[in-house]
Amino acid sequence: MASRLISRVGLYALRALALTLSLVAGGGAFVLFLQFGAADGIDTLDIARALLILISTLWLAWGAVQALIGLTSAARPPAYDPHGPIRGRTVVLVPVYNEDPLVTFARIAAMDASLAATGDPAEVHFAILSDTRNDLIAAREKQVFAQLVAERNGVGRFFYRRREQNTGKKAGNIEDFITRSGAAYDYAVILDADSLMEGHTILQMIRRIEAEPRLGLLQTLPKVIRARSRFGRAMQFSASFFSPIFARGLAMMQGDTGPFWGHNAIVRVRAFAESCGLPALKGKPPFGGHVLSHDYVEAALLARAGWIVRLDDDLGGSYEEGPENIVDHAKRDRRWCQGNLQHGRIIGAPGLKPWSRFVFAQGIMAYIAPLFWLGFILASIAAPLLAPKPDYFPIPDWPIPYFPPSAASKAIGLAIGIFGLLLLPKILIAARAALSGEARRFGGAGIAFASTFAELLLSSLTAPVLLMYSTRSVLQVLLGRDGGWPTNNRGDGTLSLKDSFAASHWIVTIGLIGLMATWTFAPGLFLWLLPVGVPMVLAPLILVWSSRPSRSRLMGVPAEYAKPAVVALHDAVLDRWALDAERAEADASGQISQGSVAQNG
Amino acid sequence: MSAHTPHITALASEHVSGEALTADALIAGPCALPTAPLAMPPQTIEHELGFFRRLLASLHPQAAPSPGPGL
Repeated sequence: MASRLISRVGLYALRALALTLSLVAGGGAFVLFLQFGAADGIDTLDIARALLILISTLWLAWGAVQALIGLTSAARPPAYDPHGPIRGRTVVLVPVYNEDPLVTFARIAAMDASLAATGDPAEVHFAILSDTRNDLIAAREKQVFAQLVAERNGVGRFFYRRREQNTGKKAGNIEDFITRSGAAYDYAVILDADSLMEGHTILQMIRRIEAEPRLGLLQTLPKVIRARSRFGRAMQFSASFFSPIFARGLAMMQGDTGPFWGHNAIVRVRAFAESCGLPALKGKPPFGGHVLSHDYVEAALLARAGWIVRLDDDLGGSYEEGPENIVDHAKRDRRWCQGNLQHGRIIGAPGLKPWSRFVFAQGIMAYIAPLFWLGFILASIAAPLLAPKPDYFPIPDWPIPYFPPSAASKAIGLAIGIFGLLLLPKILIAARAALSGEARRFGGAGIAFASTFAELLLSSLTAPVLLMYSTRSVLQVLLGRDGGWPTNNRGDGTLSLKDSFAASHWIVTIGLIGLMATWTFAPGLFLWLLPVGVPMVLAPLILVWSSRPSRSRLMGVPAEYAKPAVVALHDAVLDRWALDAERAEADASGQISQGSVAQNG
Repeated sequence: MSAHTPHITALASEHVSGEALTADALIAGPCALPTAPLAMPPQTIEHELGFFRRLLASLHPQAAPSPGPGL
């Protein structure tokens, strides 16, 4: 009891410290900007810009503080017996939606083989929950499922069902399973179609949830794998090298109110069923209707019902795949944007824990933050137009002109501070990896540092383009446009120049107008805004270039240097099945041609 | 059978061979989801009234209940 009280006090102190540091950074930026503006007299626009920079810096600092907290500790497993017998029955849920069945079901075969390789007698089943709308893909799902069952001797362990109506999308798909079959299972591992987990990891998740009866959900930290493009590999490197530290900081601050990211997690089925029934929100999409980003809401509802939701970032062997190009990333982000803004309706739900509300606010802030930066840039371009003309002779009849003191040093100091918040956490993470030896798994300290700088460079180049996509998404949602539920593009994501231009010509136009307006109205800002404007003007080329395959040694991740066992199993199954499919196709075409020869003969 | 969950008939088919069955027969038969319903009651995730309506309602004192007969 006393130790729990101490840990609770420590948790609140840590949260207060993080918030204070962020407020100090935001406040510092605010004051510095006001001093800069005061050089020629403060006007309303100066105050507005200072407020915008306060909010933006506060948000940046919050992320940086999270990383700094994460750097202070290492992920450790909770207290449990990692070799204890497993008593409960578990189902691995694989929701699919117009995915390639060959690739997706091969993952299930690989995970089942990985589980079998552990030799553990735990009862683990797999259920494929198809929401596929395309009848051809659905027919293929059935064929490949039969192959999966035959190959893995899976009768009684593997299940498949396809819904007639995909009401409630993924959340509705899971809910349909629980209301139909939930009582058969103690635990459910929830995956995405592109998730892959080591059998050992699945078993440890089960043991951990069994060891803590109050644990309702355990989230792992999935690593991105199989990226091939420059953009994809940068995301993969970032997820593998930086994200664990940010996640560590998050895990330390969230206490028992952890996150759920919708996949690569295990839930206690009874807790989930009791707490996570999601009704449709009042009104129509984008703000009403079915809850789009259901995972955050389910985590909040579990916590509200008194269950622990925990991120176990020490658990490895948890993988997912990511988008290979900026256009696919923006499509996914559009869906997430709508889902997070929809949380504005849920943030005030009765009985939620304060941290859950804060998490909703963070999610909303993540999407509206670019608007504050954009507002700041636009206000800065407009400022010289609205500023009063400088008075070089403020004293009547005084012959010597008065030049107001330059406040450039304040602006430079502010810029350095903001860049510091952006760059410092990543550089510190690289330094710690070099000192701890972790960098060896990323090709050595030198390569890890070079990869860090390459990632910073690439993310600086892509940031203005992503900022524009985010801004468009937010504006579309605010204007009431529903993004729907587009299928995820997986596989080779190389973009042609034509497709890239079609996807980004509006960014080019805005970039050109912005640069011309700056040159005309605020030439002093022109150089400052080039790092934002030039990538916008070059957006189609950046889209094409970043979608091309990467052959660089930079941004290598451990999964590339040493292929994880379950990934190797997946490769082997997929190669074999693809070959089988080719042979079957060749046999079928051979039979057709033989038949036609016989007929002609 | 698990230590926690009841025995489910549909899960007792480990000894059924799937080789003789077509894909459709598998999915309709031994590989159909087990029937073991679990209630998932819908939760309250938003207030009945919007923020501003609640704010207005809190500013207006509620009418006192009318006294009962005989008072």
